[in-house]
This record gives sequence, structure tokens and C-alpha cells, in this order.
Amino acid sequence: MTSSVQNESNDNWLKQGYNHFIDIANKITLAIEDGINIAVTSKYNPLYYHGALPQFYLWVLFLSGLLLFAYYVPTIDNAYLSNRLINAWTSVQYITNSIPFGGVIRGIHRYAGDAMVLFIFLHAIRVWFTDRYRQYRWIQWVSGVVLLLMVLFIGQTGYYLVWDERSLLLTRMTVSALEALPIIGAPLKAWFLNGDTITNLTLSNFLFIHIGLSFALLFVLWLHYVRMTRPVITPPPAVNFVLVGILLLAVFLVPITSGKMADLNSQPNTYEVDWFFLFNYWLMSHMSLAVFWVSMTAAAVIATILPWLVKNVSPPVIPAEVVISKCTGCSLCYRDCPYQAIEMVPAPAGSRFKLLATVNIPRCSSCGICVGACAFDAIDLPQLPDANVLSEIKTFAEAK
Amino acid sequence: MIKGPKDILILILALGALAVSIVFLPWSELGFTGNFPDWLSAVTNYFGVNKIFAELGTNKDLISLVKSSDAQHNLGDYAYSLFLFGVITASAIAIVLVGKEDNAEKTVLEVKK
Amino acid sequence: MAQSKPVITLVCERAADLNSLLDSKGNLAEMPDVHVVKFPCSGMIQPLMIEAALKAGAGGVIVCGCQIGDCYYREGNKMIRDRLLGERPPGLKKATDRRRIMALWLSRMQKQRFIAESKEFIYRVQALDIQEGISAGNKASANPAPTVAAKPAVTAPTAAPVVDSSSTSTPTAATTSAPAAAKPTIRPPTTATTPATEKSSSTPEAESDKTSST
Ligand code: HEM
Ligand code: SF4
Ligand code: SF4
Repeated sequence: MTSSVQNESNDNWLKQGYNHFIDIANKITLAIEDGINIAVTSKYNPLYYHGALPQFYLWVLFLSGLLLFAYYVPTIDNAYLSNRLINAWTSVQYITNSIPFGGVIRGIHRYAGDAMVLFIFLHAIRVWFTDRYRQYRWIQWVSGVVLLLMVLFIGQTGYYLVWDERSLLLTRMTVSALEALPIIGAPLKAWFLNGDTITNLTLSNFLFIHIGLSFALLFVLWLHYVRMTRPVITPPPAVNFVLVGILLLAVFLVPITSGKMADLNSQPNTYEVDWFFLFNYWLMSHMSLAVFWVSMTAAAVIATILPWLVKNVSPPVIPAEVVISKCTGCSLCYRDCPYQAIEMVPAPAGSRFKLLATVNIPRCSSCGICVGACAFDAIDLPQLPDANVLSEIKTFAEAK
Repeated sequence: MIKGPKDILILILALGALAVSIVFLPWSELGFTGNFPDWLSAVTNYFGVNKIFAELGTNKDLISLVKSSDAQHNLGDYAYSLFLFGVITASAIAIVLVGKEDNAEKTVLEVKK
Repeated sequence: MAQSKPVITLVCERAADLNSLLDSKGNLAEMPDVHVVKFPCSGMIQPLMIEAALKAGAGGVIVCGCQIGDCYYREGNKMIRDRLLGERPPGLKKATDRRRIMALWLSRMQKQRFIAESKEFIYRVQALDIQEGISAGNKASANPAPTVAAKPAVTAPTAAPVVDSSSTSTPTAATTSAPAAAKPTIRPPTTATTPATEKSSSTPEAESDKTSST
């Protein structure tokens, strides 16, 4: 820590500015957390379940989505053929108006999506501002960025599915944005529309993307969690209740409705922006497509490599070391390591014990929890050996 | 699970909330005695929430806002979700008040005999 | 000052920010009998270290980690809490005097709470010392006059077993009755010095890492 303070004077203004910003952001975060602790104690502080909040909404989305899926019909059948028409739009209308609580379920699905995005941002900002995203945590960060992009895209496909005028407009905007891309543009467009033009197949593709990517989220979440022992994925019931309460209130206050049924022959050109999911369409209509794509890509890339752009803010990680001659293979350190950095391997031949702890260096956070777990002094942080700690304690205690 | 009077209290409250919500369910489908919109305006006016929306710049009060949307098809559903919001938020607050740990910031060890 | 027994604080360097409160030797400037050992995470604290401190003659041990739920390394403070409570191995030995251990879970900004709780803890521990001094005196008259309140009548190796002597009356009764008896006789030197100041900037460069030096 001291060394980084000294280095700062030599650093350029960008780095200084960044560090200054993080410093302030960190203090504000801590102050907010302290305030919440005073109100509800740490046990119910939602910021201490920051990762579990989006996870909870994901379950809500799966459940409410399942109910919607039961009645949804992914077709765009022609509006002029009959008055007992069954297509995506009418099926959504049917869900909203005729099925008991259909409108409420639809509202929950919509607002849970919005809330999930909101809480993902909260989660990402918290890990960023409290410096929990670099070094041994890079997998969580990078998979997190992927998760965010996926969630945003899933949400957008959700908006296509309603198949009202906004859906049509968004679909056309997406197509023209894809067409603007060199080389990959054309195949992407064909993939997106599931053909050259908007047909029934287009909507089944949207439905497939919407649901398929949602399940793919689970895989990426596995990557997100794989290096964390016992990830905290369920908030306490009281917090869950509030999370559901927020949804129900929103459902009541702003009931979800569809716009007019999409008509392929019409040219809708205005729509309501959902700022959680559709902000990029807003951007798209306020800048040239080239600028749009370049800035979007740049933002995604910078977000992804952020952990490597920021360096030297805290001391380097010096991994824990196992004292082979002392380790009894009891596995306590393995169980307690928060980053799955310890592996139990067969003990070398001739050992009295069966197993031996080994540290997987790139995963180790240098936290020392394994030292606290070991009753045999067999694992140590090189920068702070427990023997030194013990003698410091004894020196002081005996001096008096 | 049940360790003391606190837990029993929680259980009773939970069952109560569940029972009330289930009882309300059919009633809400009937639009709360068949005259739902007025019921809702009465309650919202009573608590003074109705006007807030008008003052927030939507220039419609809460009731006309809800009625003007598609939600009019099944106002009972929406009223029920408002009702559930109340129940669930109240129970969340109750849980927090009961379960809040006075000693969240301090652990004192019990003396073993 | 020399009469009161030392107290060891084992603290996570991300929890309550004590840096500005330390003197150059790593003791609390306000209460030089309290020595602070910093760890990267409270999860690194071994029950063994606490036992060693008490054995070596410390009057008490304060463990301090971040707010439960906020561990920078995700679970460290829960680990040490559970270890202290005997819910996770390795735990404290049975004979360890648990009244002399206190754990605090404080965020970076809560150093005032730390000071307040520590003072209270020191009262409690000193009251225990008197108790044990008296009871030890009653049992073995070889001890010097039990009137000298906080003089460590109990020598290091016997510190733990002495618990038994006070447990003739129930331990809880001992702890609750003791402070009342003790308060009028001893004023801990700590309160006499200064009221806790917001930023005792006396040692701004206390940042330097004391923990690794022995
Ligand atoms: C679907 C969305 C997401 C879900 C459900 C989710 C969930 C979680 C959960 C449950 C944890 C474990 C927290 C713990 O137990 O300590 C976690 C950790 C983490 N997440 Fe996410 N996350 C999501 C998106 C993101 C995003 C968008 C980012 C950043 C760009 C991110 C970055 C991280 C990091 C860096 C950690 C590690 C924190 C630590 O080690 O203390 N996550 N996430
Ligand atoms: S210091 Fe130990 S407990 Fe912490 S991450 Fe490294 S191996 Fe795991
Ligand atoms: S806790 Fe210690 S003895 Fe047990 S496996 Fe880990 S290093 Fe080996």
C-alpha cells in the first residue's frame, strides 16, 4: 500500500484521476452501506447480497416466462385473413386480458427483467468501486460482462416477441444496423431474420434466441461462480419479499400493454424507450451506424479489459505456501478457501498421510483464510508467516 | 427450525398473511364486491396517494391512470397485485424487525462449563 | 498503567480503520496497553493465536473483522466467527477463558465504535482480573496482597485453569457482579487520558506495516 502511494506522484493524470474517482466512489459506497447497516443491520443489507439480487430475479423470470410460454404463439400471421386470428400479438393480448392474472404475470416478467438489469449494474458497480474485480477475480469480471451483454440482448428479443409496432420498428432497426457491418453483416442479418425477410420463421427464431440464450445464461453463470466457494446466490427471505414487492407495485402502477399490432406494410417510426433494455436503440437513432458500432464495441472491450487496465493500486498477490512436511492432508484449508485455490492431491510416496494440500497459484487471493483453517501450521502467507504473528503477540503480552 | 417465541410469532404472521391473501384472491376476481374502481379510489383517496401522481406531472391521478390503460380489463388482478405488494412488504418489514440482530456487530462468546 | 494486563487486538486491515489511532509501536495511542496486529483478512486469525496471547499473559483478545456479509475475501469473517463459536474447525480449546475474547464486525468507518467497545471490554477484563486475583488470593495465601487490584496475581501458565476457581459461583454471576464491584475502585487509565478524538492525527504515518516485524 505504501509503495503505491509513492508511485502515484509519477503517474500520469489519467491514472491519478481514475484513482481519485475510485477513492471517492469507494467512500460513498461504504457510507451508503453503513447507513443501511444502521437501518436494518448487516443481516438484511441488500448490498451484501449484491450478486444474489440479479440471481433471484433470474428465477422469477424463468418462472413467469414459463407461464407466458404456455400461451405464446410465435407467428406473425396476416392481419387481414380472419377475425379469429391467432398470432404473436393476439396471443399476447389473450394472455394479458383473458387469462386470470395473465396481465400481472406479464408485468412481473417485464419488470423482473428491468429490475435484473438494474441490479446487475448495481452489482457490477459495487465490485468495481470496492476493488473486487481484478487479479484472481478476472474470470468473474469477464464472465460478468458477457452475462450483462447476454441479458441485454435477451431483453431486446423479448421486446420483439410482443409483435406490436414497436417490435416491428426495433426489428427493422436491428436489421439495418446489422447490414451496416462489413463482411459479417449479411450472414448476421440472415441469422437474425431466419431468412431474407420477416416471416413466421423470424418470430420462431426470436423465441428461440430469447429462451435459448436464457438457458445459456446458466452456463455462463457457472463460469461466473466456478472459482467461488459457496457463492451467495440467495438473499434472505425478507430481502426476497421486498424484491417481489417492488415488482408487484410496478405491475400495478404501470400496467403492461402492447401497442398496435404490427403491420408489415406500415412504417411505424416512434416508440417508447425502455431505458433498461432499449437504450442502444435510442443511441442508434441519434448517431450514425458507424459511430454506433465503434462506440459500442469500444465500450464492451474496455469493460472487458478493465481489470488489466488498472494496475498497481494494491500490492501484488503473493500466494499461500504449503509446508509439505507439516501438512496432514486434513482438507480444512481446502474447504475454507473462498476462491477454490487449494487442491488436495495424493501425498508423495513415503508420507504418513494420504493427501497433501497444494495451492493453485493463479487463483490464490493471498487472504490467509487457509492459515486460519490449519491447525498444524502447515500453510503460510510468505509475507506474514504465522510464526511471526505469534512471536509478536507473545512479545507484547509478556512484556508487561 | 422453531427455536423460540420469535419463530412462533413469525409462523403465525406468515400463516395469517397467506390466509388473508388466499381469501382475497376470489374477492379480487369479483372486483372487490363488484364495485372495484370505487373501492380502489376510496382507499387511495383515503391514504392520499391518488393525487400524488397527478402532482408528479403525469397530469392524471392514479385511478384514471390505471383505468385509461388496458388494465381496465381485469382491474381485480391489478388490485390484487397491489394488495399482495402491501402484504409482502409488510411481512418483509415484520421479518426485519423481528430478525434484526442487535449484536450484528459484536460476538461475545458463551462461557462453557 | 503498568498494572493493567495487555490486550491484543487481531484486526483485519480492511475492517475498522485503526491506522490513525496507532502509535509507532503498533499500540493504540490512546490506550497503550492495547497492541494491534493487522491481518490481510480476519479469516487468517487462528484460534491458536488467541490462545497463545492469553497464555502469554494477555488480559484479553479482541478480534475485529469487517461487517458480516462484507468480507473482501468473501467469507473470512464468517469463518473466524464460526471458529470462535465452535461451529467450524479448528476451534478454541475447551479450557480457554472465553470471557476474555470479544469479536467485533465493523466497517472501515467505524473506528469510534471500536474504541468504545474496546474500552468497555477492558473494563470487563480488568474486573475479571480482580475477581481472579481475589479468588486466587483466597485459595493460595502465598499470593501478594489481593488488594492490589489488577496486578497479575495469576501467572501465565495458570491463566486458563484459573477459570475453575471462579466457577464455584456460576461464571455468569461472576461476570455480572464483578463490574459493579470493580467500577468504584479502578478507573481504567484509558478514560482519564483523552476523550476519543475524531482524528488523532498524532501518527499519520502509522500506515507502515507493523505486523510483519517481530
Ligand atoms: C446475470 C447477472 C449476474 C449474476 C446473477 C451475478 C451473480 C454473482 C454472484 C452470486 C456472485 C458471488 C458473490 C459472492 O458470493 O461473493 C458474483 C460475484 C462477482 N460478480 Fe457477478 N453476477 C452477474 C453479473 C455480473 C457482472 C455484469 C459483473 C461485472 C461486469 C459481475 C462481476 C462479478 C465479480 C467481479 C464477482 C466476484 C466478487 C468477489 O469475488 O467478491 N457479475 N456475481
Ligand atoms: S490465501 Fe489460502 S484461502 Fe486465501 S485464496 Fe489463497 S489458498 Fe485460498
Ligand atoms: S489445513 Fe493444513 S494440514 Fe490440513 S490440508 Fe490444509 S495445509 Fe494440510
